[in-house]
Amino acid sequence: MTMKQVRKWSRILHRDFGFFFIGTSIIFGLSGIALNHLNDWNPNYTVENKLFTTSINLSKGIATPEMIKQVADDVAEGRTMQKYYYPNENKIKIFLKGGSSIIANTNTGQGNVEFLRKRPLFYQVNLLHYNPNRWWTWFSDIFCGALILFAVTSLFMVKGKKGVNGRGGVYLAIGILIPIIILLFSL
Amino acid sequence: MKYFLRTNLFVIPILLIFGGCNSSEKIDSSSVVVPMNQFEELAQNHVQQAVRTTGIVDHVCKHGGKKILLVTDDYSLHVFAEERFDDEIVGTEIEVTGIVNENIIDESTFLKWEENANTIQEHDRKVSTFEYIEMMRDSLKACGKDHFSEYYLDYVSHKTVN
Repeated sequence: MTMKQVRKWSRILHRDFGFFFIGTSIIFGLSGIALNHLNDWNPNYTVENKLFTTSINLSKGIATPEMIKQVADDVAEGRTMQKYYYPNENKIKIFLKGGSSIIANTNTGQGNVEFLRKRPLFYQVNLLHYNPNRWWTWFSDIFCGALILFAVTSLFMVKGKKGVNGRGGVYLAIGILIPIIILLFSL
Repeated sequence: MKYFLRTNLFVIPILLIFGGCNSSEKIDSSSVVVPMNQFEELAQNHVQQAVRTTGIVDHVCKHGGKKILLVTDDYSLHVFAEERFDDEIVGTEIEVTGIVNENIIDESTFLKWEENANTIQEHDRKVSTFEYIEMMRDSLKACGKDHFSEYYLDYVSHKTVN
């Protein structure tokens, strides 16, 4: 295969795989940023906390499911109660549909409701990034292979001053050096 | 047509791979029931065996979603899976089938914890971590054992309990 043919096929592969994986690139780009900052925010849900005090006795052995449901209805109107349990003698945790929950001190009646709401777009792209099933594992493996292909084909796509023998080569070197330097500082 | 084949031929194998895959089948086991309130005492008899137990899902691990914490008033148990759990499972009561596994916590574990604790920069956290390790060491000595056992399940399947 001549260099001309290598260049031509590099362009064809880069272009067509590029079009095919535009959507996937955006999915992994967005979710990558979101999940890089797991310690700074909840990338899947917005979290809102609300303090409350109830006069209903929630103590273990005294509170009935109806009384517990009443508290859930009072402090989280419109949310369906699922299950509840007592992590210890003085604490009750009530689960609401959709991931929200209530934690209350059974001695004082004081508690906190944690309302969770799915972040539009981020919830969906993060779910894919988490690798939800084997189909996606296959697809994302192919995408990763395509990323390598993009890298290799980009070496041959352009010739001359803007190619790998010119400006492109400088960018290539910088792009390799940055992760190496960060790695050296991390060891 | 020739142009189409030349420029799109590589897309066809991708579609063929997708058409040819089968989803893996879950193991369904007629396993022993171990209630959560007896899990700590009975689990040792079922290590590496499939058991069923029932609890409420307290949360799905936010780092990957392949671990859940199953809770009751009496006990809490981690369940590990190879695939991600659906977030909607949180707050539901489920019966899990899983293989019992055991984490041994002994002097070598404490030494590893101490090694990690030495890397903690924050002074107060470092001190409290060392205090916790010492407390665990004392508890182990007090109960006359050479290790603690921490049990967990490797997920096989689950069904929702109404």
